[in-house]
Order: sequence, then structure tokens, then C-alpha cells
Amino acid sequence: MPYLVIKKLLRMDWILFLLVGAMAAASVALIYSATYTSDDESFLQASKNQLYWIPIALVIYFVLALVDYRRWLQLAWPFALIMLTLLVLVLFFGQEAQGARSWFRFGGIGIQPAEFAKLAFILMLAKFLAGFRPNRKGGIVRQIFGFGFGGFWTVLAGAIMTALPMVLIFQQPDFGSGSVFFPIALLMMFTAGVGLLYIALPVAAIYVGVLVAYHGIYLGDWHGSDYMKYRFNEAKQVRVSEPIFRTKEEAIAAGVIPDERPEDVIRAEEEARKKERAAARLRGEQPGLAQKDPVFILPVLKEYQIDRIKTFYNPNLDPKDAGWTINQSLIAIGSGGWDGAGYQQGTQNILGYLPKNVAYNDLIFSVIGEEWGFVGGSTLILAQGLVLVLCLRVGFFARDRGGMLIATGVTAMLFAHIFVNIGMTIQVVPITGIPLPFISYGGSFLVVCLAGIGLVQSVWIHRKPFDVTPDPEAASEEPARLLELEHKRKALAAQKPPRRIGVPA
Amino acid sequence: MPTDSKWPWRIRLGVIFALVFYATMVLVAQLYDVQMVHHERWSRKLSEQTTVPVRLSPARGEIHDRNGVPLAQNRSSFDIDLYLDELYRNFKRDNRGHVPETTIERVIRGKRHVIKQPDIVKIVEHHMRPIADSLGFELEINRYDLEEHFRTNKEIPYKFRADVDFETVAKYGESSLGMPGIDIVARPVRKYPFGALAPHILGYIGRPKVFKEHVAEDGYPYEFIGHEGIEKKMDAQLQGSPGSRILRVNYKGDIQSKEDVRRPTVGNTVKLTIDHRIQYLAEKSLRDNKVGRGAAVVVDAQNGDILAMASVPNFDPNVFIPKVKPEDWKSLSSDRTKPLMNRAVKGYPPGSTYKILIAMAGLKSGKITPATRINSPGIVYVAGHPFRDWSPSGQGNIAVHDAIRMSSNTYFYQMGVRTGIRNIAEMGRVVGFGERTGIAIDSEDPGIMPDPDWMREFHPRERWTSATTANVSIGQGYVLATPLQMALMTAAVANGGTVYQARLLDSIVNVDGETIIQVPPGRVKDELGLTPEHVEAIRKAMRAVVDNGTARRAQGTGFTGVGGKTGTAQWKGTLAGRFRVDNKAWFICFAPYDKPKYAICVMVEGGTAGGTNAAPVAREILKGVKKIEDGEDLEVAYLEPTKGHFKGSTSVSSGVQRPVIQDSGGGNSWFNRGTDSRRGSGIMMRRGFRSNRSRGEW
Repeated sequence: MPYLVIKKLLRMDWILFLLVGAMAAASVALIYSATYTSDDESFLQASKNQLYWIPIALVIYFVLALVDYRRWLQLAWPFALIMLTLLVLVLFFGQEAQGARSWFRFGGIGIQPAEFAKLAFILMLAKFLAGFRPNRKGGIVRQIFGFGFGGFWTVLAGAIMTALPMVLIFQQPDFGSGSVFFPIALLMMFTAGVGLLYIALPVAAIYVGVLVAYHGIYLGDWHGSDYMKYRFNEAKQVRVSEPIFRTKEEAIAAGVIPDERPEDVIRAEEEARKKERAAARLRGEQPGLAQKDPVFILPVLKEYQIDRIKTFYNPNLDPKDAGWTINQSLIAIGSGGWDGAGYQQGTQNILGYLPKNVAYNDLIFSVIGEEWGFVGGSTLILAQGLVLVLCLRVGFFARDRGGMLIATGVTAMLFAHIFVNIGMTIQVVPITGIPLPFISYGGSFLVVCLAGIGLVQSVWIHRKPFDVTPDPEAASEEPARLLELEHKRKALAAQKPPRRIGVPA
Repeated sequence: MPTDSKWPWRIRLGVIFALVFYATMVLVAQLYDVQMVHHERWSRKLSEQTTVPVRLSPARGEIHDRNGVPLAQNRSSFDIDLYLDELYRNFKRDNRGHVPETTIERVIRGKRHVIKQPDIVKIVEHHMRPIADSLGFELEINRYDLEEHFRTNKEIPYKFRADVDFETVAKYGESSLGMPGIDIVARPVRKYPFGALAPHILGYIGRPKVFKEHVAEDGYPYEFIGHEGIEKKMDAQLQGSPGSRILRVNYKGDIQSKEDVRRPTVGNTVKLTIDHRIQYLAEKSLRDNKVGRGAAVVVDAQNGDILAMASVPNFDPNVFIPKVKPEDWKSLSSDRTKPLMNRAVKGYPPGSTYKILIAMAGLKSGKITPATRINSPGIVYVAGHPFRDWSPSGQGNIAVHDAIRMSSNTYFYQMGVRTGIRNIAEMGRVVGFGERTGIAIDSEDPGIMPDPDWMREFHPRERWTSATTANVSIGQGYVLATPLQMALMTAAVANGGTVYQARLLDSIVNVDGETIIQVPPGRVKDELGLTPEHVEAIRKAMRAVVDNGTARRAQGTGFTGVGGKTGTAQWKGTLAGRFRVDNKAWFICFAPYDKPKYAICVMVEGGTAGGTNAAPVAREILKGVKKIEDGEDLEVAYLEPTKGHFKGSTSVSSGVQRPVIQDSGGGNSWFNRGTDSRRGSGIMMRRGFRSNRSRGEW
């Protein structure tokens, strides 16, 4: 029905579309600048690959935008099922890259199920939360500011729905992509109208997390779950930055330097050590390095994450190793100044101080900051902020809860990516492997971002009914029937009993 | 109010809008902080890590002699630089990731570390062994240095071998094509083309000891500074200003590009009054006469220019280039003959050559005339002390002419006392004794011109008597004079009475050939104040010394008429750990007689007599000079340094000083002469003098 398509296109939020399209187009040039000095073929191909992905992403965008979002909501459960299946499959059949099993590769095209899972998850949660009616007894004030337990079952079910994909993605392991589900769920539940208690608790948890990160990990020198392994490796590889053995005896005990004492002395000592170890085991202690040097182990985090948090608070802690990325990113952006070094002139990127394998995706903002300066960087931030605001506007004027929730979910997803990605390059959050929407290299992610915007556009396009008079003749023939149908629909709606709180239809 | 209103979630969306707005502002604010507020700091860090400023060593200015012949110049030194990180990576690649490891123990900030790192010594050996074998040089690896360099700053090239000769470089260039990580760099280094020719004047160069005191224009210390002689004194002129080059390095430390910011400049050329041929003659004749320790100074009698100033034993300043080897330095600094000391500007008791000064003082004060005869027996008593002549029978009733010719001690004892110490000291100061001549050599001694005032200041417990004056009259006692001062005095007598300022530095010329500083020649310091007749009388007497006096061995130089005076100062003291008799043999002379051009002073330590040891040296010099004047070509060759010795100084059984003095009749035994002290010797102070008998003086 071309007439309807044109009507829908005309109703599309063109500002949002152009903004996003411009960023996607610019991304090709920016990725080229980030990779053109590399001598690795796969990096040199990156900008071209991105260029190929744009049309694919646009097709998906338009399909999603022009079809009524309620249709997509109807398909939410099948999508969710596919998503979970893929996430399970990728753990077994996925391709391993950089220590994570997160790719499906078909010929030359790689697909990251975790990225598409975000979209399916938004649809699923929107579908689920659309059926939730908040606190209708308390009136509008309590609906907005209610602090009660309203919607306990909804929150619990939503939490399980969120936890499923998150856990699967953590298994890959991909900490960055997995943790994005949390803010999406949080913000969607917030707009869905659950009691503020359920929002306040996670926010408080985040606050506690920050306290732990600062006072515990940074100031208290806590360690991660694989600390023992790390310590062991350290003893083997010997890092120069820290004294490992305080005495010669320690070095001998670890086998780093040979023991030159008489054999019987060594044997006697061995015996004594064995006895000591047995006694310790009886006492229920863990003998070994950790005992000499008691450390607090934080079981949820890995040592490299601990390092990132420590270097986030103090980039100078280990500038050559753990603090390398944050330091180099700050140097790149900071040296950009007001108007930057110029396109393709970023010294930090050319000379490889920004690691080549992340400069074109996760650290693209560092390249932009160095080449375009404050002018370019702040323009990009404001443009991304404008995208978010426009998405929120769609939610504001959405026709129903489902549309609003889709808009919220997409906004939350984009917001999480933008804030964390840009924030990590300028020391607002610790370094995390999260790409920048529309700009970073990555076909799957570009498709997902544009698809998300497509869904939002669909909500915008379908926020009010179209005059279903595409054909003037047909309209003239059946006005009465249409009127009758309308009356019937209203009557049906009036008869339908209100649904119970928190129970999905 | 409708229960199903959109407003609840619209307002909550508003909250999210506020959150988004706030977050965006946080990002912009932080971006502003990083890019605008702290821009300087990050830019500095950027240039610190991506650029390596490299100094381009400046070339040191040259030192020329009066004819423009370079005495110190520059040559290219080829250094082999190793880029350890690159070598390590190549090795790893070639061996499929297998790298030998080693453990090293280091104490860092007081804590012992056992560090495992790739065995860089083996890696370097692996790369350099074939090169070293094919080029035929010894592979010397300083294990500690190399490992430390690799551990601490492997990004910086390691100077593996300095000063490779050009043929090696050429051969290396052919054999190492395609060997990354090994680089050859040319740097200018010092070269002394004549070796041990005038090393005491030129000095030598080395790394600064206190870096802060020798900072170049670019804020880093100079690599080399002058340590002695002209190299030290004229360091500011000789130093060029360093250039700088900026290397861009990538994150691995590989050099990506080079950019010369400033070219290094060449320092100014220092021109000396030295004539390298006469200097060569002086050096050569000291060597030929097997002088173990001594000095020879040749001065232009007509303007005070120092034409040659040699001192033996000496050293080859080239051993300090590029860096003195520890064993070389040890042998130089611990040698008891002190090869690093410039004997030409050190004070020694001048002995009988001092009698020229006494004669001049006597004539000037009018206490004697050339015709005044004084009875000079074998022994005279001054202030109750016996003073002996070298000849037991004395010289009889003689005038000043014969007194100089035969170097009569008893004549000068009486004449000195008659003249008075104040007149002598005044004359001495006119000639320049007791003060530095002011030539550009820091180690110069002033010598001592003693008089009662000096005695009050430095030896307040002693009293000046006429016996002291008598002792001064034959150049013994407290008197110390440097060979250079003696040469200048000789010049003053020779040219008829004008005392010239000594001049070693002629001019300073910049690299474009423009003269920046010109030291005027022939600056008059003072006039002797003698009548021409008096001067002529002394000149005549000096000529008689050579013709038929104590210095007949100075005959046969080719010059028509040479005036001279010998001297032998008795010296006893501890030398090189033993108590020795170590006489200083002197000879001063000038030539030609009619229009004197050259004034020479030769001093030989451990000589038997001035006429025996010192005069032949002067004769050799004069002979050579005459040949040069006659237009003969003198081939100046590379000189090897001489070794000093103590031959000629008799060792007396050590530790028993007092009996020795008594056995030798007390003599003129001043101990420890030749020290730098203005105060004279400590033993002298305690003992005073007991009796005076000058044996062995002629």
C-alpha cells in the first residue's frame, strides 16, 4: 500500500532519523581515521565493512519503523525465545575471539547474538510491562511518587527475565554487554510505574557499589576472585613494578633461585613446613602465599576489573600496564584541546598508543577527542543527548504503554552505551568494553542501534491512527460500516473488565 | 481524575529526561575539564611519550699553534648503538618465541628483588658474535650494564661500542645489511694529532664531574668538558652549542620519524703562541737527553710569547678519548713521577740561575758596579754561620763578570748581603717572581720571592737575618721560581731590560674565521731599570758562561753567541716514599747574542749539575731552532708519552734524616722543596738553618 507507506514516512521523526543517519555516515570516516595507519589487513577493511553494514541496518530500520510496533510487540515472545536459544547456542558453537565466545560467523559476516538480544529483551520487557497497571487505587500522585510494594510480582518476574540473558552473556564472558541489561530493565520498570522502592533499592545498591569500589577496592586494596592465580602467575613471570620476594628465602621457596644449602638442612625445613601446613589445614586455614599476606578477596570481580577500578581512581598507579588505556585515552583527548589535531592527525592513534584493536570501536571517542577537540567532542555528546531526548519525546507522546516502554527501553540502552563509553574515556566511569552507538565499528551493534531507533520511529509514526481512507472510492462506499465498527469496538472496550495488577494477560 | 492517565509515566519519563540531561552535562563538563582546563598537562604528557629529544653533539673548537697548525682537532667517532627491544623481538621471532631467561638480583630502593628477564647478554651475543668475528674485534660485553639497561630503559639505544674505526664501519656497513636493531652513529670526538706534544698546555677533556655546573644551552650538561690546561680554561670558547633532533616513537619505542630542530655548531678556535715545531724540539730534546722529570720553556725574548713549554714525564691526551680506561687513569694518577703535573709552571729552588737576579739587584741599587771586585774565598761567615763555595779554594778577588761566569757562591753571599733583601725582593718583583704570570693555565704556581715581610706573614716565629739573605742570594732557602718565570727573566735580560707579560693565548677565532678576541703581543710588564751598561755587563757575563764558563756544553748551537747561566739547587726530601737527594739542575739561556730572539729555561730534576744535565737540552733546542730559522723543514711526528724516572736522585737511607744532614755538613738542606706551598717547608720552620755550606754549586 504505497500511499500508506508515504504517509508513514511523512510522519516519521525526520530530525531523529537525520541525526542518526549523519552519525552513522560519519562513523565510516571516523573509523577510517582510526585504522588507516594500521598495517593489519582486518583493521584496514574496517571502515569499508562499516559502509557495507549501513544499508543493511537501514533496511532493517525502515522495516521496523513502517510496521506497526504493536505487531512487533505481538512477536515479542517468539523473539525472546529465539534470543535465548541463540545465547545458549553461542556458548557452544560460537567463535572465540579475545577470550570470549560471543560470535556466530557465517562466511565473512560475524554476528553477535548478545547485541540482538538487547533489542529482543526490550520488546519482551515492553510486552510484559505493558500489561502492568500501577497502583490505580492511590490516584495519580501515588502512581508517580508511590513508594509502596506495588507490583512485587511484576518486578520479580521482570528481574528473572533480565537475569536470564545477563547470566548467559556473562558466561561468554562479556561483562560489558551483559551489564547493559540492568539499566534497561531498571528504567523500563521505572516508567512502567512500579513502586519507587524497587527503584530505590538498586540505586542504593549502586551507591554501595561505588563506596566499595572507592573505600574497599581502591583505598583498602581489595582483590578479585582470581587473585591467587594472578599471584601465582606473577611469581612465575615476575613483574618488575613490585617486589615479590622480600627475602632470599622467599625466592628460594618459590623456586625462582636455586637453594645452595646442604641437603639435610633443606630436608629438615621441608619436614617442618609440611607439619606446619598440616596443622594449618587442621585449623581450617588455607596455607600459601595469601596467608602470609592477608588480602580481602571480593568474589564477584576479576582481578583485571579490580585493576580497572583502581586505575580509574588513580591512573598513575600502573600507567604501563593496567592504567595504560585510561592514561592514553586521557592523553589523546586532553591533547586535543579546543579544536583538535585535525582529521587523521591524531598522534596517539597513529603511533599506536591507543591500542589499535580498540581504537576503532570502544575507544573511538578518544580518537575523535584528539582529532576534533572540544568542539567535535562536545558536539557529538550533545548530538547523542539530542537523540536520547527525541526518543524520550516519542515515549512521551506514545499511544499506549507498550510504545512508551519501547521508547524507554531503547533510550535506556542507548543512554547506557553512550554514558559508559564516553565516560570511560574521560575518567567518569572505569574502563569497560562497551561501544559507542552509531559511531563505533561493529555491524551487529550498528544494526541493533538503528533497529532500536526504527522501533522508536514506529512508535512515533503509529502514535495516532491514520485516516483509514486510502482509497476515496472505498471510503465513500462504506462510511456507515466503518462507523458501525468503531461503535462496536468502543462498546467492547467498555465491557472488558480491568486486568489484575501485575498479572500478564 | 482518570485512573488510566498517561501522566504518571509521562512524569516519570520527565525524570529520565532530567537524568539524561544531567548525564550529558556531566560528560560535557568532564570533557571540558580534560580538554580545556588540563590541556597543557596532557599535551605535555603526549610530547613526553611520543617524542624523544636527542642531542646532536656539538663539535669542539680546535686549538691551533701560532702558525695555524692544529694541536687539537676533531674526528668522527663511529659508535655502534643497539636497540635492545628490537633485538629481543627479532630473536624471539627467529626462535619461535623461545627466549633464554636469566635471573638477576637487584637491590631497588633498599629492597632485594629477584627478577627474571630475558637473557639479553645471550641475545646480544647471538647477534653480535658473527659480526665481531667477521670484522675481527673482541666482543666485550659488560653484563651488568647491559642487563641494567635492558631492565630499566630498553627503549633507549644502548651504546655497545664507542669509537669504532672507519674501516670497521665500512666493512660493517657491507656485512650488516638488513640487520634491524643495530645502528651506527657518527659523533665528533677530540683528537690530538701530535699525541703527547704539549699535553700539559692543551690539557684533556672528559665527562663533567658535577653535571650541574656544566649545562649547555639546551639545559643538559655537556658531554665533554675540558679538565686541564687550555681545554679547561677556554672551555666556554671551545664548546659549540648542541643541536637537537626530535624522534617520534610509537608505543613500542620504535622510531617513526626524525626531525632536526637545530643544527649543532662548532666551537671557536683557540690560537696559541706556541710554535709546534719548537715545542716538538723541546719535547724531543728532553726525551733525547733522557730527562726523567723536568721542563723546558722557550720564550720569545722580544715580546714574551711562549713558543714552547714542555714538561716530562707527560701523557698522551688521546687516551682520554672517548673515555679514559680505568687502568690508564690509574697508572697516570698513581705514577710517582706525576706525569699529569706541568713542571714548567711549578715552583722549584732555582739555585745559581738566581744569581742573575742578585747581580741585577746589586747593580741597580748601586751597591756594586760592574767593576766592583769582591774577595771570594772558599768560605765566608755570615751572621756567624759558615757559608762555603763549591770550590774549596774560592775564586779570589773577582768582579761580577767572573762571579757569574764561574758561579761563585761566596761572591754572591757577600754581594747579596751588601745589596740587602729589600732591593733583591724589589728586583724580583719587577721580574715577576712570587706572582703568577697570568697565562691561561690554572695550575700555575706563583713561586716564592721571600723577604722579611713574607717571613712575618708565613713564618712568624722566624727572624730574617743576613744569613737568610745570603741563602736567597744563591737561589736557595725559601726561594721558589718556576721555569717559566726564569725564562721570562732571561728574556728581560736578553732584550736589554724590558720585562714582557707572558703570552700563551694569541687569539680566538670563530668558525667563520673572524677573530673574536686578540691578545695583544708584547705587552710590557715592567722595565728592569738598569742602565744599558749594566745590562750589557750581565749579558756579557752570561755569554762568558757558555763560552768559557760553567755551560760549555751549550756551545755549538749554530747561533752566534749564546748567553746562559747554569744552576744546581740542592734538594733533599721524601720523594716517592723514600728520602732522597734530588737536585734540580737548571740552565737559562738566550740567543742570538746580538738581537736575542729566544730565551730558554731548562730545569731537570734529579740532575747532577746544570751544565751537565740542563745545558745539553737547551743546546739541542737552539740547534733545531737555528735549523728552522735557516729554512730547514722539520718533520713533526706523533709523540709517544715519556715515562718518568728517579735516576739521578740518590736515595738516602730513609727515616734517619738528622744524621744525614749532619754527615753532609748540614749543607743547604732545605727539605721538601718544590712543594706548592707558599709557606715553604714545615721542617724548615722547626729547624731554622744551622749552617750553610753550598757544595756542588757551580
